[in-house]
Amino acid sequence: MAQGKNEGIFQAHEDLSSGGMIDKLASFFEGRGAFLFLVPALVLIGIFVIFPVVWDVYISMTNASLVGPSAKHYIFIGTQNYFRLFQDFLFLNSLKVSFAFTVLSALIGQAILGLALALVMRMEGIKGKILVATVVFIAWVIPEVVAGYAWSAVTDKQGLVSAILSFFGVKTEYSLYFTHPFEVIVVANIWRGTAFSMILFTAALEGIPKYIYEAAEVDGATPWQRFKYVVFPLISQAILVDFILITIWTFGVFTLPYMILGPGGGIGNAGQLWTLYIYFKAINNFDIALAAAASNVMFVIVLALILAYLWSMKYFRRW
Amino acid sequence: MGSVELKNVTKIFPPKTVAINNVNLKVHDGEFFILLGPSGCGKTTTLRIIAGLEKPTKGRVYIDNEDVTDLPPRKRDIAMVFQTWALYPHMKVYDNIAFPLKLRKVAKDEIDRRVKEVAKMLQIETLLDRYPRQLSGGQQQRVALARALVRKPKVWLLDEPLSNLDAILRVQMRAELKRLQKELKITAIYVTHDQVEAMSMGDRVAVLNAGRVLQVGAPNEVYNKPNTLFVASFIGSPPMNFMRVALKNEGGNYALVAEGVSIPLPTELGKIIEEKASDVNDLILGVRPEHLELSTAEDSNIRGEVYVIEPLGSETILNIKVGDNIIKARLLKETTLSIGSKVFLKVSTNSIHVFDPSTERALF
Ligand SMILES: Nc1ncnc2c1ncn2[C@@H]1O[C@H](COP(=O)(O)OP(=O)(O)OP(=O)(O)O)[C@@H](O)[C@H]1O
Ligand SMILES: [Mg+2]
Repeated sequence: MAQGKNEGIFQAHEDLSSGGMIDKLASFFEGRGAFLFLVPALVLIGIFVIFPVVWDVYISMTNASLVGPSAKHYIFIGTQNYFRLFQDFLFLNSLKVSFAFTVLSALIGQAILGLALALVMRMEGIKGKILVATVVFIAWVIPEVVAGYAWSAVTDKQGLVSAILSFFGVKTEYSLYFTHPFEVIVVANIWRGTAFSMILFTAALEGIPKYIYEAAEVDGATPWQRFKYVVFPLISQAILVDFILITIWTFGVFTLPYMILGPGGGIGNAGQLWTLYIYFKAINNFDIALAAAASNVMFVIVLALILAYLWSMKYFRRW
Repeated sequence: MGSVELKNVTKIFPPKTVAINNVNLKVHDGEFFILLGPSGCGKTTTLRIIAGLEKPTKGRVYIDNEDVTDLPPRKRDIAMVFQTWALYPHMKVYDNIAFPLKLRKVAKDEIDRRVKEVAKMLQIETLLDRYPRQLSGGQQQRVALARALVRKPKVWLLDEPLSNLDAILRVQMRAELKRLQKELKITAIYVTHDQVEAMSMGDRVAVLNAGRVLQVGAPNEVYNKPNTLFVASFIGSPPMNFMRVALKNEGGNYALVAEGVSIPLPTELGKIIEEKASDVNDLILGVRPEHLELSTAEDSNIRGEVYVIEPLGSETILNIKVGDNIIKARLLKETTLSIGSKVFLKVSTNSIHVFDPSTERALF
């Protein structure tokens, strides 16, 4: 039997095979041949990921516009767009809105509600929990455009919320999305995205063996102590993963707020997320170079956040 | 203070596994009580019902004469060693042991003192700074034991807490555990399938089989007066010898007879058997290997020929063919006998057991 560096993973195959085909494949993979298999993927990534990023960075340093003469003939203007961006009140406002939106609707709303739901799903003898889970799931799977329409209908001055309020004697003169644009998209996004956190936490809770709960119970832990000292530490890593994913997604949310508020983000731009801002700049103002610069800034911010999360991961799970 | 009582407790796991069947037990305060039985007989289930981790299908559980059947585990003031240890993977050994105290808001230095004390007793004081995954099985088991012993609850529930230790350590730990239990006078319910452990540690032993309690008594009681074939065969090593015999009555002189066996019985004993047995011609005679001794031909009541000799150093186990049976005799000295030679054995009528094969119960 061949000795040397292709012991290890190919060893098992050697024992099983009659020695021909699989041996050849193994040595083929070990050589440069493996690279050939990567070429199609690399080409696709190059066309659809790397090129747009490079192009985007380039455009952000020009005076390109969506229409007009500078749509075709634009010139390199260096970092001017970035300076313009940070002097733009609307951009700074959209940063603030996006941060608040992510913290409130994702990190607080979706994660806490998702965890609470996941905990409830594990309890025995709670009636109607399947119904709740189903509703949560439906919110997650219906198309975003439909969800957006539904929310603008529900929060309209002739919609469900107004009907309920007037039932309690509160008269509503305007639509809720008009008077409280930011609050409406926060709640809508919690409604929309909680299912993911719930699933993730349910899986994490399933991973804790039953006897650990039992040991804690016998040791005298109250339900709250069990959560605090046993359950929470054991799912802390899942919470971090959840935070990473929902942060990325929530910063990128566009369709749902767009459907409810339009690119302006409602009255006083109170709900203008940076995604809406970019759309607004590129499509309404034709200023695609500035929009490109804005998206690059957000890319760097989100990347920094993710790196911070990943870095904090090493403080978790030392056991 | 911690007596434990089970009244008519039955546990059925759906759809129809009867794990324990109408169990009645009374464990006295301060007692070292053993649950002994083969694998799957319901020992763990019984313990879990006392702990409150399983709800009995029928029956009630009392701790200190208080009905705790509907109380959750944390309100029962018990500590338990799980058969699977159930250590907290994210806590170091120290924190695992300290956890029950921490929950009760015991002062930090008191926790420290007690954790170190119990760790020392169980010889794990050098491991306090490790996580459970960094320990061997036997070490993890001792951490689980420490977590139970660090507290002074009403009852300790110990599910085979020494099963993973090597022979030497196990003997040491048995002694330590027993000493601690007597010192603190905490009621202990100890599960084992090791009859030596049961005999050496227990104040009383309950022998279980197939979900039922067959006999409860002091170790020498279950050893000397087993009430069923099962208890007789389960306790003792090597196990009791069994032979099919018949009761003969010749003008008031009773004897148990079979090929190679003829044991004269006192009249009262003969009468009891005659009265209780469903068929006097089909009985099971039980004799422990240690109760058989070599004798002369005239004095003997069992005879056969040597089949195998097992010298074990301090003692010798003789395997003897009597009729169609091979029985074992335990001799405390070396023997000059050789395979195939005739042997004459004597057993005192005080040490014989007679069972009715149809009921499997002892007749006296
Ligand atoms: N959760 C469960 N669901 C169904 N059957 C169970 C469950 N737990 C135990 N049983 C069954 O109940 C019976 C008693 O189990 P138990 O664990 O009490 O045995 P044990 O005496 O502790 O055995 P061992 O010495 O092997 O630990 C077994 O037949 C087992 O298969
Ligand atoms: Mg068990």
